[in-house]
Amino acid sequence: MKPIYEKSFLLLIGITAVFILSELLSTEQRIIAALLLTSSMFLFIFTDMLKGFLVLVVEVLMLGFYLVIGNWSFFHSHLDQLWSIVVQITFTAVLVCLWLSISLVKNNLLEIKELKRKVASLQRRDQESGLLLYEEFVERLKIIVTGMRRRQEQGYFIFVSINTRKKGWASESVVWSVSQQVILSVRERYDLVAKINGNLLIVALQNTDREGCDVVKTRIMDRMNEFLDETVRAKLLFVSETAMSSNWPDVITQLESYRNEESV
Amino acid sequence: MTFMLGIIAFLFWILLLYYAVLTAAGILFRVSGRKKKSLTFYPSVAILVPAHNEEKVIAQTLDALIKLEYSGDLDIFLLNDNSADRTGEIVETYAEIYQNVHHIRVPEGVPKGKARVLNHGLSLTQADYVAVYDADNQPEPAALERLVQTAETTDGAVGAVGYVKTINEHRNWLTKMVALEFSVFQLVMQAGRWQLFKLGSLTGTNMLVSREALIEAGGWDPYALAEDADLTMVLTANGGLLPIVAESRTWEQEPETLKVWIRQRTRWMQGNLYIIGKTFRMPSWRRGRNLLHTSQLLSIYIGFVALLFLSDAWFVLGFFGFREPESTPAPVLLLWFESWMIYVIQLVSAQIMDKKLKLIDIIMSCLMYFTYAQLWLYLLVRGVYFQLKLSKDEKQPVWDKTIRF
Repeated sequence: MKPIYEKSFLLLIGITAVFILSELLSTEQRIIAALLLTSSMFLFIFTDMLKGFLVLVVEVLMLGFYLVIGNWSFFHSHLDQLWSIVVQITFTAVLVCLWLSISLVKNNLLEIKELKRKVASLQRRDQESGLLLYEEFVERLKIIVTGMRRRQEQGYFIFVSINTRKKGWASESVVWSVSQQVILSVRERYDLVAKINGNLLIVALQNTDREGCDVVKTRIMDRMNEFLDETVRAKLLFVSETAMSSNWPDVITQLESYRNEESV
Repeated sequence: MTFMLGIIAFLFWILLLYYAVLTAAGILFRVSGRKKKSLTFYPSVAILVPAHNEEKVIAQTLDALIKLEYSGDLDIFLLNDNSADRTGEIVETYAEIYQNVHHIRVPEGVPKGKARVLNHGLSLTQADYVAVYDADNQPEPAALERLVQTAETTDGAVGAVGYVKTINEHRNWLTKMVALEFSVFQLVMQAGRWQLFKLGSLTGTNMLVSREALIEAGGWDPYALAEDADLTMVLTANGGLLPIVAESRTWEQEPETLKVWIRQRTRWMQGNLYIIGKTFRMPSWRRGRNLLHTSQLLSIYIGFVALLFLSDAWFVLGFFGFREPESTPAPVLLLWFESWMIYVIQLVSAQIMDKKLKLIDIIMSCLMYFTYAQLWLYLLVRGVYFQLKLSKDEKQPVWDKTIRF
């Protein structure tokens, strides 16, 4: 059955059941039923699907046993039993429709969340800054490190730490501006630039020795000086470098340790 | 007469209450969830696969067993019980390729059946654990590891029991109903009993038992037609626990025709009647947790059928207005309705815990009480008849192998 028909069918059953139930119950019983259904609705909303279903089952079973006791104790007639059966069917139908509707909405929200997660995992770069996303950076770096080890080449990491704590109001724009300058300072198709935590940028330089690393560092500093006052820059930025290990597990451990730090 | 009817109705109501509580407990077990527990050391496991004329299914079974992801030593013993078809030839091919696949030709002997074959397999292995898979099973890759993890991390466990799913569920209405019945038994009843009483029952396949516990139990009873239920009783009497692992799944072929289904279920019914009879001879089976097992057997094979019969009677009585204040002491029509309601709730609950519920499944659940469940009445009568005949003629039980499709 198509989802739209399923939802319409659900709505039709729910409304019909509410109508029959309200016709069958006295005013006091209606109030109790309304209270039960409302509290169930909140439970369905705020608990997960299976817990909600457990609540539903317990309510239906308790109502059933209550009706049996009632009929047994007061020796009700054949018609009273039929009344009890119809009440239980309609009450169950309303509860099931409520649970299913809320579950459908929750499922849709979960699907949206899952799709967003999938889209994020497919994304390679941060759209605003153009920086590589961390997962993509790691994937590309792995290939670079393997190739460098085979060719016995050197590599360097440059870390650009942005201290925005005292200037929290401008943190987003500062990180963005610095990112742009760093991207412009490296070889476009050769080196990698990524943000590994909130205020730490990383540059991976392949086939580069110490001298080459210093050249890139100086280039970054020069570009920063073009748009930042030197005193401000000294307070705001801290640039450091470290040699890249040729052993991939060591590299990933190093990256993770930086990633978990607040700042370098 | 009125007093008797009142007593029967009250007992009927108690049984309904028990099923209702079990249903809620089963859902609670699944809601609470179990985290996967990894082990630092994985014990050795021997998989026993009894096979008699299984050429239609054995290759798929071996393919699935080879794909099992297990971190410890694993050996697969295909116990070929005098197959007259190409089973041996197929297994030999696998045994030549894979070092851990062993083709065992089981010597002829009596009584014929799965239990004797499994005992032969048990005598060949020194592994820490013994797992059993039927010859038509296709376990999921993680199934065995989940069983071992649970057995090793549950205090007092001597093994673990997995979940059996129906591979040919969508073949026809019968296989669909069998699949629903299996999910209720395993995901609601078994899970509920574990949640309430720490009680699990071996299902004959996708099950794991420590070799030590099996040796202590004396292996499988070769005269038992329901060898799994029989072993459960012995292991429980010895103080062992059998936790339920719903996340360990195997796929099994179920009967596709009513004739095959009736023959298979009659054997199960006979097997369980044999165990009920054995309970009266074995005092240790009437004590402690085994008392609960016995009650469970009685509740399923006698209680449920009695409940079914009575609910049918209630319906007829209630429908014609038999219950009036001055004539009968119970609301019989309402009691019938409640038994139907609980049955449907169990079926729907099992499906919700296992997969995405479809409208057709709900309709099927509502109808099963009037169709599939009613067949149990016939099965009980047939099972009792054959079991009595067996005792009267003093014959050995005959293992009626389920036909594969």
